[in-house]
Amino acid sequence: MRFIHTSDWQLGKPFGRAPEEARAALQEARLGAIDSLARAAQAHDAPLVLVAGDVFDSAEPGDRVYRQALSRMRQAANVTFVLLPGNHDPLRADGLWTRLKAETPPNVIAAIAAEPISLGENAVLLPAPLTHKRSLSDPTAWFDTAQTAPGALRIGLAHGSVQAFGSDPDTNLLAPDRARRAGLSYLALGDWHGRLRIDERTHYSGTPEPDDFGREATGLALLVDLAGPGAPPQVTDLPIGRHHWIEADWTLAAAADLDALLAGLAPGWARQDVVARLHLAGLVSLGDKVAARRRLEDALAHELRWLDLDLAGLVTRPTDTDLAEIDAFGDLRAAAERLNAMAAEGGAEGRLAGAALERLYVEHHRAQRPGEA
Amino acid sequence: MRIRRLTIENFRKFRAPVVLEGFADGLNLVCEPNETGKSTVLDALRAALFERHSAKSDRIRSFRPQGDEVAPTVDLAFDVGGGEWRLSKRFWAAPQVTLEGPDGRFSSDAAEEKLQSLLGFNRAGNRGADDESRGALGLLWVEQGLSFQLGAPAETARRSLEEALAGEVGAVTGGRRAKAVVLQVEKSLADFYTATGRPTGRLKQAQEAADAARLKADDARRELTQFEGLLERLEAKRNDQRRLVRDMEDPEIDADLKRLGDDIDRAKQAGQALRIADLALQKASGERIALEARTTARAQMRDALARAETAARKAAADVATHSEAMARARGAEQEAAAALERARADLRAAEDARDSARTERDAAERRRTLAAAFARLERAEALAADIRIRDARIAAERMDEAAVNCLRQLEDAAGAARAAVEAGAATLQVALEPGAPGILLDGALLADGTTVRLTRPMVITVPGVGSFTLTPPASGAPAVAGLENAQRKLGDFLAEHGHPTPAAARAAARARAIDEAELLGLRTRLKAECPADAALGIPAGLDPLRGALAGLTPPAPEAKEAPAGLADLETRTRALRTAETEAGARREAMLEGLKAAQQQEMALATARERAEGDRRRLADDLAAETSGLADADLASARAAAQTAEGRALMDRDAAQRAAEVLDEATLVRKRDALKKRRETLQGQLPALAGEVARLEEQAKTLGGEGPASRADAATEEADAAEAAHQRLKQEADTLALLLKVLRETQQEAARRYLEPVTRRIEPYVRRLLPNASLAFGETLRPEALSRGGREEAADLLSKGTQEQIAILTRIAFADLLIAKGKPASLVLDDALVFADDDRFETMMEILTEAATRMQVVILSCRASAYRGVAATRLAIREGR
Repeated sequence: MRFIHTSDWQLGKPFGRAPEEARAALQEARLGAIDSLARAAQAHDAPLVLVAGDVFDSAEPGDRVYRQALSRMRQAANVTFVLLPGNHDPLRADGLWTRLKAETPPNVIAAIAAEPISLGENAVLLPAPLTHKRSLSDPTAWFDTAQTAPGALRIGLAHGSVQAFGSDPDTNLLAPDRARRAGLSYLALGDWHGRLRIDERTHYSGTPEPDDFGREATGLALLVDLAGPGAPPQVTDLPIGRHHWIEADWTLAAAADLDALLAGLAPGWARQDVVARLHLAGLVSLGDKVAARRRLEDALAHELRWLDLDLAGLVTRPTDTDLAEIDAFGDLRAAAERLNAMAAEGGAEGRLAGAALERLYVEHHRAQRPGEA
Repeated sequence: MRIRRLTIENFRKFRAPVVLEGFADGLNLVCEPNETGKSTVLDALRAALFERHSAKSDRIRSFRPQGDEVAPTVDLAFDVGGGEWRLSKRFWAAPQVTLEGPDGRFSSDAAEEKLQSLLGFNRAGNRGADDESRGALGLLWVEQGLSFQLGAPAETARRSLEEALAGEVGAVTGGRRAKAVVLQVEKSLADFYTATGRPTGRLKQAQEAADAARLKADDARRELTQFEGLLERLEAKRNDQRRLVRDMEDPEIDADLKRLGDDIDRAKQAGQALRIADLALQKASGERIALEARTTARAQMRDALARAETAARKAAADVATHSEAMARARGAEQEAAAALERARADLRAAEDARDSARTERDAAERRRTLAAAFARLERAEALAADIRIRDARIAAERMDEAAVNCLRQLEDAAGAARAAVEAGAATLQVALEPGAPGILLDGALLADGTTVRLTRPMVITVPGVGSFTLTPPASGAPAVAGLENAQRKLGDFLAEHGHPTPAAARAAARARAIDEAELLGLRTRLKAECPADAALGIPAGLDPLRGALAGLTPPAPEAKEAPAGLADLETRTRALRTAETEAGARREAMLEGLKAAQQQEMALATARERAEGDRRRLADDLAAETSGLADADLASARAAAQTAEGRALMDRDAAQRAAEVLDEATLVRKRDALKKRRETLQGQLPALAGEVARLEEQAKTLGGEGPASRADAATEEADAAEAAHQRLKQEADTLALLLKVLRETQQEAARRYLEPVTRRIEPYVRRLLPNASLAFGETLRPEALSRGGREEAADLLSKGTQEQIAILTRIAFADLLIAKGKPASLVLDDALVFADDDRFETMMEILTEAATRMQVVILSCRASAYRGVAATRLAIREGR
């Protein structure tokens, strides 16, 4: 049998830290992933989509979000979606899942009980819904003893870590060898936003639409082909995501260094689908700092979906040319010298003085060419 | 710049043309009296240079002489920049201007523009030239009355000075750009902070947005918490509902209820038995108690009877004892009454004797007083008679004191008249021989040795011989007439007062005076004889005395003295009264004693009656009590009652034990509680079900709004808003710092930049005010004077010092301009009017020195002050 393994849709993620204009597009793209998955399922003749938890970003994302999701799934009527509560949207009495369950269209199954779900004649799905944000017991433990018809394909669907990913100690921890112990043909896992293979039969699909910086490989879904109970699964990566998230550290010696860096930014991606966080560092002249800032803030920022720019590391060291450009002598030059001296002393005051000097440089240019600004 | 020649025509007071010429390079002095037109000269000079010829402003209009429609015209020759220039300007009617010099000849606006560029001033505005347009020269040419102003130079003048300064210090370039940058930074900062440093504009909006977002996030969090609480409550209520249904249908409760019903029935029976036993016990106890009480009562009655008999006996004894005391009291009282009667009789006798003695004494006293009164009356009457006689004599005699004086005057007059007659009269000396015949003078015999004064005709008769008539000469007639007149007056006076001679009149006057003196004494004595007599009730005065005694007979001479024993009688009476009082008191005491004894007698008799009555009643009662039941029968009845009571007590205890095992009240309470609980549960169920449904509905509604997502979103947005606010704040702080540094830098530059002015003026100030130095503000205004370590605000200095400093400042400015090759000259109209002689001299020295570097023109009306000053003296002269 063939199906698509996906997880961590995180529908309703607010992106509150993104600028207003990027926010709506990023939110919309997450719902758009459902359509992309449905199309992929149809294209690969895999009419089953298993969503391994964290369908929603929170336990209560609001009716509008789940109705939009259900509506999109309903439109792909020949594809069956199985939704599993994860740690972001755990199952709670009278909560989201209770309401959603009452409205699911025929092609959507909410796997909200730890009990086998029949997938046609010869396959059984063993879901491990989460009931809390953090659970200390392994929710897949029951797979080992779950009774299924002899010869049936046993497919596990769960959400959590097989290892301690972060500092969070041992919560939602799944046994790494659960597939083997429970005789699973495939264990579809969610939680880890990047694509991750644990073993031949145990995989994290990652989120189909990237939602943060610093993930290794994201924006994928997995096409899983199971020939039979004993046969190893054929797992294929399918690109689904629309946005490309990049976080990069750029070190500049001059504004001109940006040419190469900008050219190499997210090759192959349309700029409007790129979300970038750039940390700039280096020691440059005032002129270069201002020029670099202009290129990034006034040009690149408008091209990208969202540019999160961090210029704190880009330190200016005004050159004689910089200062001469402000003035050879006179009030402005004296002020520039003072600010430069203050900046050299460092600390918060020094940073402020550095910024003031940069501003002086800008204002001076503006005063010289009143047309600008 | 140097002025060479000035011609003025039709300008204010100068209708006819006047000329001022011969200006030297150095110090020029125009010394003219008031009203000559010195200030008009300066006005014309300023008009020629700074006012546009074509202007029609009020000022230009004011240039015309009063009431004349003529064209004010000024011609000026001056040197500037090494060239000689001639300017001719006509205002108002057919205005025109020409300027001729090394660069050629200019007219109309070209001439005005050339003039402006030559002398560095601006085109005048519509209302005429002002400090702004006149530039540096305007600053240096000081009008009358304005020389002491310490104002800041106007913008144009300041700019010229600043340019000169900039050349000097060589550091101020880009001033315009610096200004633009400061302006721009100020403008940008104004988007963030107000002048007082409060957030405004974008910063305020960002701050408010951040605060609002934070509040919203808090609200969303709270809503989420509420929603989660709601879910928990819902779960708890569901559990409650389940427990409730389970409890309601519990079969154990039914069994408990039945068992409790049976127990209650049994408890009721036992309770009944106990109540019966209680009643029986009460009855037996009552009988025993009654019999015991009767026994006790009988013993008490016997005791009481014994006590009553004793009391009756004692009362009878008391009555007998008391009757003797009674008799004694009665006897004593009768004795005391008799003694009292005796004392009273004695007292009455003594009082009678004393009263008759007193009456006798009073009568004697009155008689004596009356006799004295009569004696006084007799003496008074004698005195009164004497007074009447003397009064009559005084009234009859008219020779009072005035009359005596009058008499004396008349006598003196007569004497004087006689003397006058005799002085003028012939004297007849008679010497007769013994035996000479009797010679008669006027019929009287003339004796020998007589001297006769011939004051009247006299006839000497010598018997036998004949007669001789001697007639005094007629010259003596007036004296004789005077004498006669005086004698007649005297005679009239005597006749009027009834006295024959003056001697008699004087004697009468003396007698009258004696009478008057006597009369005073007599009246005093009369008053003394008639005093007020208190004993007889007579007021003072003779008439009251007469009236009181009229009709009374003078008493006979005293027969006997007052009785001598009155004092003894008084003493005896007092003693007897004391005795009578004592006897009365004793008798009262006896009477009281008797009364008390009688009352006690009655009380004792009553007590005896009562005691006897008690005794009889008690004896009757005891007899009645014992007659029905003998003492022995009573004792056996008591023993039987005690036995019956013991049995009843045992029965009651047995019944009580049986009842305690089954407490009906407790059982009923338990059964009711069980029933109540079941009813309560049944009552709660609908409410609980409703609550669950309501919470379910709420959970649905609230959950549908997505509280968790909203909370997350709001928190992230709040963080973003705060970050945005921080970014803006950072920008604002950056701008604030930049502005602060720029301003400080500018201030430092200004200090440096003013240094040349300060340096130039310093030596002048030192000469005028030793050890003082002057500080300028950024606007080139003298601001403070430091001397002796103290700083004084320039505008608080004295007017004289202010004026001197203002002139020194102008010299320094002019020096500065000249050093930079700019045109400058100094014109002072009536300056230094407030300077004292020393300061004036010093100022003139300074001005004279300055005049070696620049042309200085002083206009003054004070010829004497400038007399010693070496200067080129100019006069305003008519002509062209």
